[in-house]
Amino acid sequence: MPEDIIVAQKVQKEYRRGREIIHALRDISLTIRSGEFLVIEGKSGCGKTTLLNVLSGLDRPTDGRIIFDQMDLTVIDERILPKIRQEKIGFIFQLFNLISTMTVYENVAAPLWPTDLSRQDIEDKAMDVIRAVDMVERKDHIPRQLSGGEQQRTAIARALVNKPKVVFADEPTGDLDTKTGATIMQLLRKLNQQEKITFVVVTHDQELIKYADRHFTMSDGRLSGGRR
Amino acid sequence: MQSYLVIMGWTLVAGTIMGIVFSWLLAHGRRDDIAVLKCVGWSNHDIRQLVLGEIIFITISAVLSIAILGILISGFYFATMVVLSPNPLGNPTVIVPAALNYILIRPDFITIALLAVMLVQVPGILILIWRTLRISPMRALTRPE
Repeated sequence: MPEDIIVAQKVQKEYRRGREIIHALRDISLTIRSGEFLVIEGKSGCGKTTLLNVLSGLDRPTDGRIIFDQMDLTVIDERILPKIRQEKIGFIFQLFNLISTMTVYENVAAPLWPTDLSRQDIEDKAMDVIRAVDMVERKDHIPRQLSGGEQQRTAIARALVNKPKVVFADEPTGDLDTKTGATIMQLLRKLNQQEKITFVVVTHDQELIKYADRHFTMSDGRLSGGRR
Repeated sequence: MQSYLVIMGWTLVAGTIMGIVFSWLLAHGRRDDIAVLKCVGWSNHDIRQLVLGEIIFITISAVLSIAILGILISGFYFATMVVLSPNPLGNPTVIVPAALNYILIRPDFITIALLAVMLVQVPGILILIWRTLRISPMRALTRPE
């Protein structure tokens, strides 16, 4: 029986915009099991990215608790959060967010630079994931020399280089054409099954639901569903 | 002497202002990259080291480049003066020491210049560090609508 990797309990997130209070997340409870491929679908502005921020510890909820790998992210010292992100979390972004002056190899290796790993270990780990996403021949190219699909594969390699427990993907196919988007989703699913990494994908695209073990729908800060 | 000090003072003030503007632009232009690095696990300490390392590297490179450029220009100027002079010095034992004295920049001058440049950079460096440490990793997840 897979363990629970993320447990969200009655999570609320409110923002103040002038005098108005925006309820971005309303009473969200969610359990994500280790190795699951979860898709959270919803329209733009429904609170998906806020939920992803809160689940990954980038932001703190106004109320409720987030237990990530048995650590309560809502009370943990903020100085520890980078270490948790470094060791247990990977991110994939809609716009890839590769550093434009770095090569594919450097972008992938960047999360490991502040660690105690030797140069050789960093190279070995980076090349392993570059191989896994089939980017070996492009490893010395900079992002503007790559297609959108290649940039996203590089971003996936960067997300996986630290062997994370959970990868959060925010609209991973949002900036890609349909065919390339499908290829990227198949790659994510393959990595999920091979490496047993938990994936949490947020998207507005209902097409991505077919890749999920479970999917939720988000609307106006509320979560519904959880169907397999 | 007094006018010399005034020029020095204004140069330092101008350098400080330029350092602050440069640092501000550097921090502004790299917000997205820094947010991404924070997302992938870089701590504020790591970011601070990166920023400081870059600034020290740029400063030393700039001072050395200017020193080399100064040597080349003064060398070219000296050579031109010798060639064009109606009464060439002629004897190499006279020319060579004169040329070296004229062309070479004394190491203590370079050290003083480097320290002065570092000094005027301090406010800019502090602003740069303050700005970069305030960047939220959430910035990496915000998308243009």
